[in-house]
Amino acid sequence: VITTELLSGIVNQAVKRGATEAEGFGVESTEFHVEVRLGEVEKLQEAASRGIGLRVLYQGRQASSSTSDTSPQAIDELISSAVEMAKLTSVDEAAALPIRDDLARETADLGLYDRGVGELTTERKIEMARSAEGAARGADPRITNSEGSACSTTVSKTVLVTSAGFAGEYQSTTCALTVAPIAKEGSQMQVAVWGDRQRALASLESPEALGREAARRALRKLSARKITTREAPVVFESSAAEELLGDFFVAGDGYSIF
Amino acid sequence: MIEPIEFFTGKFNVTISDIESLLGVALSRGGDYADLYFEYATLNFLNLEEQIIKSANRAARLGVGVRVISGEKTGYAYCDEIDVAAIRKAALTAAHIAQSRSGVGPVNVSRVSPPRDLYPVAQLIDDEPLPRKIELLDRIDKTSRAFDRRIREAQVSLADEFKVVLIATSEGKLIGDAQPLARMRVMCIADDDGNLQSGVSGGGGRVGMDFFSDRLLDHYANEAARQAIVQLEAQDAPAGSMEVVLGPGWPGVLLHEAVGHGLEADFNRKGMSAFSGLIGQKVASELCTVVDDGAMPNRRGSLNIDDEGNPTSRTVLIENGVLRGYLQDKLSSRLTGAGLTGNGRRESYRHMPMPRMTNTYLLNGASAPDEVIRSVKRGLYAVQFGGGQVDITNGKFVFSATEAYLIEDGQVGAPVKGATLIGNGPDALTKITAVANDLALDEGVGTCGKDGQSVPVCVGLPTIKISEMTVGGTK
Repeated sequence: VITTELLSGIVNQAVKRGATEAEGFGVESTEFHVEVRLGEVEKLQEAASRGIGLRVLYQGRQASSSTSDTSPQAIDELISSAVEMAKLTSVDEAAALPIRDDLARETADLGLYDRGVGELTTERKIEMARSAEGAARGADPRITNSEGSACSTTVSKTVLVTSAGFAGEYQSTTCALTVAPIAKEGSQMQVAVWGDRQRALASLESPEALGREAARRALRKLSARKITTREAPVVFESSAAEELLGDFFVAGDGYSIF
Repeated sequence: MIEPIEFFTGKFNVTISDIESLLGVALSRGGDYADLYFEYATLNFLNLEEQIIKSANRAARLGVGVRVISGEKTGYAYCDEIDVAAIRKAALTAAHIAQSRSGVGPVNVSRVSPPRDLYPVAQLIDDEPLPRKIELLDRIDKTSRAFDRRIREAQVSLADEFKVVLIATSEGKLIGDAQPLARMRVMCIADDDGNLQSGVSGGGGRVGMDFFSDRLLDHYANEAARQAIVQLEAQDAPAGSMEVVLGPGWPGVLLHEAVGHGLEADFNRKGMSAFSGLIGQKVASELCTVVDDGAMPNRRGSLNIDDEGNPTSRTVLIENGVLRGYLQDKLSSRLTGAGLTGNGRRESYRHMPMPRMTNTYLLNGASAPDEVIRSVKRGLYAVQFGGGQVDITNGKFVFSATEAYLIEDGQVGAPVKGATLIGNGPDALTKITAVANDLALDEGVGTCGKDGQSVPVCVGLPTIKISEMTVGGTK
């Protein structure tokens, strides 16, 4: 189990071995994923995973290491490799961890965790995927095939400890349902992938609505025709606009600009 | 070198008889097939920016994936440790996919050796001291900056990994492999009075430290710098339908994306590919022969065995324009009766295997490259590509060319920027009207993504001409 105590121990040990600053990071999660295709369960995957990362600074030099192995020997290697590597990298004046005064003292509840997501039964998740695919396939006779429908959930815990005195953790959940019907007319085949992803189960769009919308999106692509090369006004639907905005953000983030 | 079976049984408390009983647990509720995938990997990443080593990272990844196949259904579970109790729990979870009440007992396994060693490495990069790696990055940085005073910044990185795997199957096979992999990458930014342009180069493969000779490092450095400088002079790209010539090597990514994915057996088995049901039919110009060969020495996409324990091979996908076969994994091969091709791959123990490409390329034709260019009245000569996207169901793709030139009256002219190639794979294949004799594989930089899983691959192409393709530009 990854706890603030475990990470505090790692951070303290890194400092003891020479690190001037250290940050321990851990994630534990349970992931579930089921795919249904043409009404039958095709893939079912379930696993608990975890990982620990350590970032250290040694007189302005930075290095990091990570592992999925929490045995004492692996943790010892994690600490020594990060500290030893940091001694060999270059001094970077911009590299530093947040100082004590910058650390958060209280955090708002952002509603990232919904107990209901972890309590969903396997049968219910299969049913949700089946209903979404069923709604898509039932929407129109031209929906002749399907890439399937998937229901995924994750329940995770994130822990962060720094040598400047921060120690905290939070839990979060995600639940997602996607469906990908294939529409066919003549020799034309079009697929649309549609779905929803939320933190809380109650916010997730119903399987039936997602299925119908996916079908509508596959069908409307059927009559696609070529257009000539031209300059034209372009309307971005909200989901496409989001992607475009994402690219703008990448161009505008600190890393791209400095 | 490491012997994978001894590695896992020696380093961890797991015996061969444990493995045999774990396979029994996986099939405890029935099922047609089960396998265990043990993985132990170390991954290193070192990067240089602004002439300093910004950071060094080392990661250890280990665990076991358990898969159970029952008809068309697959159950999968994994654990992040190599420990019998944890693997047993994962095996019980994966077993749930099968419905029968009665299972089998322990499954006997016997050791099988990979058919060949495609990547014997004397000195693993993983064992190399950090200062030695830093020297390589420094050399590239200095060489790039010396290329032209307008090179403002070089970002150099070295990613290397060493992965040991062991695969045990309910068919009684126990087989392992030790897989080194390394990639050097350099990106240069040229700045001419505020006109910023970039160039990227690099390479690698399943190689040791000796691969990165000074000569090769200088080549990466000069190539990235050259591309960035060329782009400073580039004009806006033309738009419209025209003849397109693709240069050798990395432009093969277009073949990989627009054709290769459509030939993976899972899409075809489900009738979801533009190539479904077309075996034996003409799908490309007769100049086209496309192969996938996972058994090439030291290549980035090569493997002694695939991630299901089967030998990799050379598979002819399209022969003189006729579709010959698909890339198979165990599941698709079982369900369709097609022979295995050794293309069952996965990113890690956390992922289910699926049919994936290895080293995919188009074979040489008879023309000389300059002859191909001379035959073009007005068109685009695309030499390097950046990102791209493809829709498997209809083979439609969009690619952006990061280095391209106009061709006018058979002569390569001015460089252009911002050109995108738009088309669809099956259609483009029929319009390949010339194939040159200068086949090259990319230098070892490719990573292929599918269903959220990344695996290293190689792509390759000789110079080819496509008689008509839509070029997206601004002029």
